[in-house]
Amino acid sequence: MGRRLLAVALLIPLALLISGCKDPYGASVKAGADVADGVAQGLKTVLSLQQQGTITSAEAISAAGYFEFANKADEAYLSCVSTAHANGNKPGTYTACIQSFNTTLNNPQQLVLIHVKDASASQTITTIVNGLATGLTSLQTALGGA
Amino acid sequence: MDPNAIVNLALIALNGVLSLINSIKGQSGLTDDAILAQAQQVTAGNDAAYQQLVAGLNGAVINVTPTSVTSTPPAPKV
Repeated sequence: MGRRLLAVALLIPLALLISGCKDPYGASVKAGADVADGVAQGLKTVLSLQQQGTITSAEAISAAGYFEFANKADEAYLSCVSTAHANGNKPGTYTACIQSFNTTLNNPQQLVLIHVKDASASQTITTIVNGLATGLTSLQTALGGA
Repeated sequence: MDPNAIVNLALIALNGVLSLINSIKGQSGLTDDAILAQAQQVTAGNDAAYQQLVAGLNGAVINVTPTSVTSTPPAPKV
């Protein structure tokens, strides 16, 4: 599971960066799809860790709460991107969507939810969460204000 | 319903979401609009899986909570 998670964490930023900025709408949409993928992986990982007995049910509920928060933020982001596209791809609109999304994902009050006692499990969950945020930051840079 | 069964349903739902994701990745030439629509399907699937996961895990938490002893022992006979 570890190698797969590492691959997800590393590939999301890479995919976002490569998809870059010639097509800000396409790159933004792919970013939303990649985060949705990361959320699904995160939820499944949390469930696996709970079933292995590595984290408690209460910790699993809490950590899953963060991934659901990220999922809701992704829904809002995809809606923002769709609106930006419908409004004619005005400069700065996609950047505003992703900036808002990234800020939301990094909300300290929500990040507290992923804290679990087991060090290895904590690292695993944190790796996935960091992968989401890092990918968005990379795309935000690549968008260059689009 | 048995909490473990609900957790299993969550797992099935998540596997369905992951299959959808793999299906999206396997399709070449998708338009941006199509990717957007499918990403929205994935987030909706994540929502459903989360609800089942929490329902199942909440049941598990309740099941492991020790039951308190509420009955008083009988008075000793004299």
